[in-house]
Amino acid sequence: MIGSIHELSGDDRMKLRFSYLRPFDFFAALLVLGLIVIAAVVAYSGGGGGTLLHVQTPTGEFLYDLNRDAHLQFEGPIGIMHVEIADGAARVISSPCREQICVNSRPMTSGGDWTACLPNRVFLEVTGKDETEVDAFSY
Amino acid sequence: MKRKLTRLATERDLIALLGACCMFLALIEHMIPKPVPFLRLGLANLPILISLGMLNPAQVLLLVALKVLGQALVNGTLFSYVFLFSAAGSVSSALVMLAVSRLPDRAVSLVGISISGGLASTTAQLALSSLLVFGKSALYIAPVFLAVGLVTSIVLGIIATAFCSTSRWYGRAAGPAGRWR
Repeated sequence: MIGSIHELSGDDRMKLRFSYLRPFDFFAALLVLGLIVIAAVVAYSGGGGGTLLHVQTPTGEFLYDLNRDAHLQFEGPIGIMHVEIADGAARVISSPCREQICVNSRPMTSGGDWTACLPNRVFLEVTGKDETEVDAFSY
Repeated sequence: MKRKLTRLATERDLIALLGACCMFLALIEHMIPKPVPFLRLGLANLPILISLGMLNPAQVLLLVALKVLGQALVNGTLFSYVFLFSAAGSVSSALVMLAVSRLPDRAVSLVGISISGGLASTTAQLALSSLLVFGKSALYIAPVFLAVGLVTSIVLGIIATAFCSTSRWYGRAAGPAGRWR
């Protein structure tokens, strides 16, 4: 049967010298420390994740990771626009519009870069990590 | 008068008692202000850690279910998506702790088991937050989250070790060959 709370205390056998620590304890702690360092380096250095391609279309808004290669299609009033994300840069590879300004604009790589196709009402913008950081903590 | 209990009844009492402890500790934890959601001490994991030396895996998982439910009742998060985070963290943590606790005593102590469980819980919750809420931005909370998890899991491991090695109640509940005595 389970004892009373008065039996929970003990003093003579308290092991305060941490001699009970075992190899796996240190391994686990080092593993977590390593993960913290890696996560911190990736998150707080410029080249890492967090740079997002923000796309606004008549049918909705979309966010894409700029560090993950992808081929995207967006539908607007005059047709389908193709966008490619490769090597951390996003660019419009084809658009049904007449001017082709969006196709000829330079690839977007860092926060603040943007391009738009007005006839097709698609707006593309790279949001930097500063903005996403605020999002993360203002939740 | 002392009543003799069958082993099954004793274990059932034990699960109920530990489950109640989880709920109580969740309440204590709930009273401590948190700077950021999900940054928790994980006090309610203490009974789970201690149960590893007394209960079999199925019983530990039952206790985890009680803990998740009790925590949700105390925090009022039963029908919110926070419940998902709690459940994912607790279950993954319990599974990893059960796996690591199979290592021999000379290889791992409760501190290592606690750190592994904390890591599993943090990872599961980060994965879920990346999937459901923050997307890639979850990476920004990862270092802080992992660091807090490491510190609290070490502290919990030390407390659990101190408890298991000194408590006569634990000694009787875990049996003469109880672990971490």
